[in-house]
Amino acid sequence: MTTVLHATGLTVVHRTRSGPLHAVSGVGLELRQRRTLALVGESGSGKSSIAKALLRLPPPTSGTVTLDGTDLGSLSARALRALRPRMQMVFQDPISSLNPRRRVRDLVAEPLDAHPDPARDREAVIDEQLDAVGLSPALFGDRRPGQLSGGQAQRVAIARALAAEPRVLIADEAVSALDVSAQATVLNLLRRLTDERGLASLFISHDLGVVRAVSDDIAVLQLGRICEQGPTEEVLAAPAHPYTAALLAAVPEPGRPLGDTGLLPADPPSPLDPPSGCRFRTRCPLADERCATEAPALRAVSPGRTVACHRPLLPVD
Amino acid sequence: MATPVLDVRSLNTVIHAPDGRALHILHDVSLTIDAGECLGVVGESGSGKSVLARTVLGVHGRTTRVESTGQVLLSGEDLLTAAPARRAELLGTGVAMVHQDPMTSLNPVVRIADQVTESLTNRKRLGRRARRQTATELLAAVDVPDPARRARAYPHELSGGLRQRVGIAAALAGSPALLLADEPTTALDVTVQRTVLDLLDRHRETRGLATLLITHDIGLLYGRARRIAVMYGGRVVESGPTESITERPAHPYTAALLRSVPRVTGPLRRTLPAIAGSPPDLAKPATGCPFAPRCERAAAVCTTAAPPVHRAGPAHTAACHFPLSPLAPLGTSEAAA
Amino acid sequence: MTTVESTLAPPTAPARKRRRRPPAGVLAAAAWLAVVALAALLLPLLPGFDPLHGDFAAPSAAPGPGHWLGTDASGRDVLQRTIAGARASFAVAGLTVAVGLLGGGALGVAAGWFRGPVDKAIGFATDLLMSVPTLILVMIAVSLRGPSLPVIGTLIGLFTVPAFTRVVRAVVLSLSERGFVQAARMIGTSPARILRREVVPHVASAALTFAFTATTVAIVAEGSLSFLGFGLRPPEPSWGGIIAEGRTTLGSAPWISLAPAAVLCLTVLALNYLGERLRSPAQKGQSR
Repeated sequence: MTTVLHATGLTVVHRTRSGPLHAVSGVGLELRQRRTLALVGESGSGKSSIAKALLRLPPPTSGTVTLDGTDLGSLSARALRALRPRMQMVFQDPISSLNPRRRVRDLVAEPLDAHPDPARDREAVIDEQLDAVGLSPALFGDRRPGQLSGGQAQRVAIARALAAEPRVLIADEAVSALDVSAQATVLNLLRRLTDERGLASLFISHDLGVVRAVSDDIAVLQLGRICEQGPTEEVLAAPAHPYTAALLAAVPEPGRPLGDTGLLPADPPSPLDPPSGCRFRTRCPLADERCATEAPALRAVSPGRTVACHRPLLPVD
Repeated sequence: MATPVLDVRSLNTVIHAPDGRALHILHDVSLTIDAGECLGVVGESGSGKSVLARTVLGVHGRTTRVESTGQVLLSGEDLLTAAPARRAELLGTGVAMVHQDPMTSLNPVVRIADQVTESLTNRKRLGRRARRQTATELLAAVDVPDPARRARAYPHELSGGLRQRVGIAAALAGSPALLLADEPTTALDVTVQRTVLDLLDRHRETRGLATLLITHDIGLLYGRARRIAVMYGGRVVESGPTESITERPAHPYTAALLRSVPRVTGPLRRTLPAIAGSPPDLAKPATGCPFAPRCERAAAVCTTAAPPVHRAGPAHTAACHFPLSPLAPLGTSEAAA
Repeated sequence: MTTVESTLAPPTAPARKRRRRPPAGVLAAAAWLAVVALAALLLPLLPGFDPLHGDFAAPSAAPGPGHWLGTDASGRDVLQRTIAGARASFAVAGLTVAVGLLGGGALGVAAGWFRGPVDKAIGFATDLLMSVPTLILVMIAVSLRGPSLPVIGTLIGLFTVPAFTRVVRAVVLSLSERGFVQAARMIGTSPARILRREVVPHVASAALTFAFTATTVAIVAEGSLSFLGFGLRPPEPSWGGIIAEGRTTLGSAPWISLAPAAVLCLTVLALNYLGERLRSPAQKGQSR
């Protein structure tokens, strides 16, 4: 499996009126071809900041991102623009990610219009991408975003991303705003396209059920740090980090009795003022003195699985 | 049997849009909620679930004209026919609402204490100290840490979870009989959602509050709502006890909805069974069953005749021509149920 | 209306296309503006039209068959003068809006797009401009350079620049956060192309709506200046000037002032009403 995108030591610091906000602190990620990595976390976990940092919109405060071996930080603005089509993103709000004044065909053709390529026939590309996302070009081509349902609009946004012939596809809460029935369609589509087009996908979500359906690997974020990482099925079957276990227990599901999250009754801490040591300790049922003083490092649980915890739920090396 | 707190009977709501179109949103919606009971209303976009809440409260956009027929009985008194002053009184003392987005439902320039006690100060004058005192107690009751300090704060100084708890405190302040919660946790994180829903459950039980919990997420109702009403295309297509609905759905829509929910438990499914087609367009009046265009079991009769109501179990009914389990039409063989 | 639409499924194509008939108020306002504009453009081309010609046989004549709106103290036809005044008033307004739209549009786009220091600098400059007492500065300029139409129009226009800047900046700021502008960036579209294709069309509708308000500001400001004696020099008629001329005979011949004043009021009212009506659909388009 080829590594397409590699990020190391990714750090994002926002300057705010109340001081520096460390949205992301030293995160490393690897996106491989035909694989989907899910990035899971609650609000303030820094998951969207990571997506933006990977795309350099805006660039990270520090850390490197390489795409097929090219360090994106070393590129000129023009060279980066030329490379942008290789990395595409789908947003949470599908309707607002489409210019309301333009028709579906022109929306899908945007990447071609921005980077004209005489070898590609505009109309043929549009038809191909609309077919790929299951929207009939004859039926939908001339509609405007206001005439689409949420699920249809999201599929148009995916078709536009595909028209750029990307290597990397980032989906930022791409199904959160959709109805359950439309959600399934888009999830199936993302999974199929990752496979068929050989994409390296990053799927950002707060919903573990959705993550399970779409991803191969999972990285759980807590206040800008990865606290657990590994193959999705393994992690969800037996979480090693108490935070992952709490997230899993909190998921409401028909037919599943309400389990205890085990969380201490504290609100999630503010990223502006993170707790010392382990950032989860204020809510962690297992926290002791060591957790308050020393930030835990990522340690191996099993091949391909790591956890950053002083008192993990599974034995570590 | 005691009078239900909310008893909606054959509610039909037509909204006259400013451009002259008449949109028939709610069709023959009937539901009841007893004191201390939580009824879950689940539906996707276009199901009419939010219009239902607004019709009960009698709040619609200023520029829209709304006509409702049927009955909306609050503790036995019809809100639709009550004189405006009486209606305002009934709603003001009997019903409270928890909104989806606590950020927009709170006034950013008014201190928490004054917002939480608003339903009280509407009726009687309270001094500043009394307001602070009452607000502190109300905030403590919804597990807001450091309530005395939070009472003096402004909404933007609180996190999303705290704000929603403030919204609940404000709703509970007037000791209402009925609580309408329209997607109360959609904007919140999963772990916070859990605590907020637990909080609503606790107050429902201790105060005997009737709760109408409106959501798009059927999973969220499990273990909380005693009964569920599934809405589609402005109609209640299936209703019954939560376990019965989630384990033995009779309406193809409910079944499809349950199948397409991504789950963290059970066998791994790489392809989710999606529901083909788009949600119904409320602007287009549908004859027959609103789900027919997307239904696998649909036959010609589904698009022409309104589906009959079948009994699918004790207190469990579904409106469908071809329900999923062999069922007796309602009324013909009561004994079979 | 928005509350209802948000709960409904997206309208289908035929439902969208159904045209609403404009309300009577809009038709009346548009008709009034059309009549004033056509009269101001075409009537002066007629041979008998001379707003400066005094009918000495009938000074201060009351409205009647010969002179529909009466004559002024010099026997000049008030209707003709009002129509000629419309030309001056609209010319000033046009110049004002052009200066405001171009200047404010460019500054607003720059401030909203580049943000940071550029935004701060532009904000400071427009604040500075707004702190200047407008009418006094125009009076000084007119005293120094003479009361020409370009001077007055440009100066009033200059003072609408801050308002245009703010309107445009706010739209650009919200647009640059919108998904479709981010999507264009992500595709690698050049900034110039994003501005041209994604930002400017949205900005234009908001700015044009505000242009209606600016037009009325200009007409009223020009009227006030002329009334105070700092407008276009008599006998060249403008609405403010004519109203000012009638001031001394308000008791005996009120029509000299009131006729142009009524036309000015109705025109400003019609412009404001239309601007307000146009605002809703335009801004709905943005929020979509």
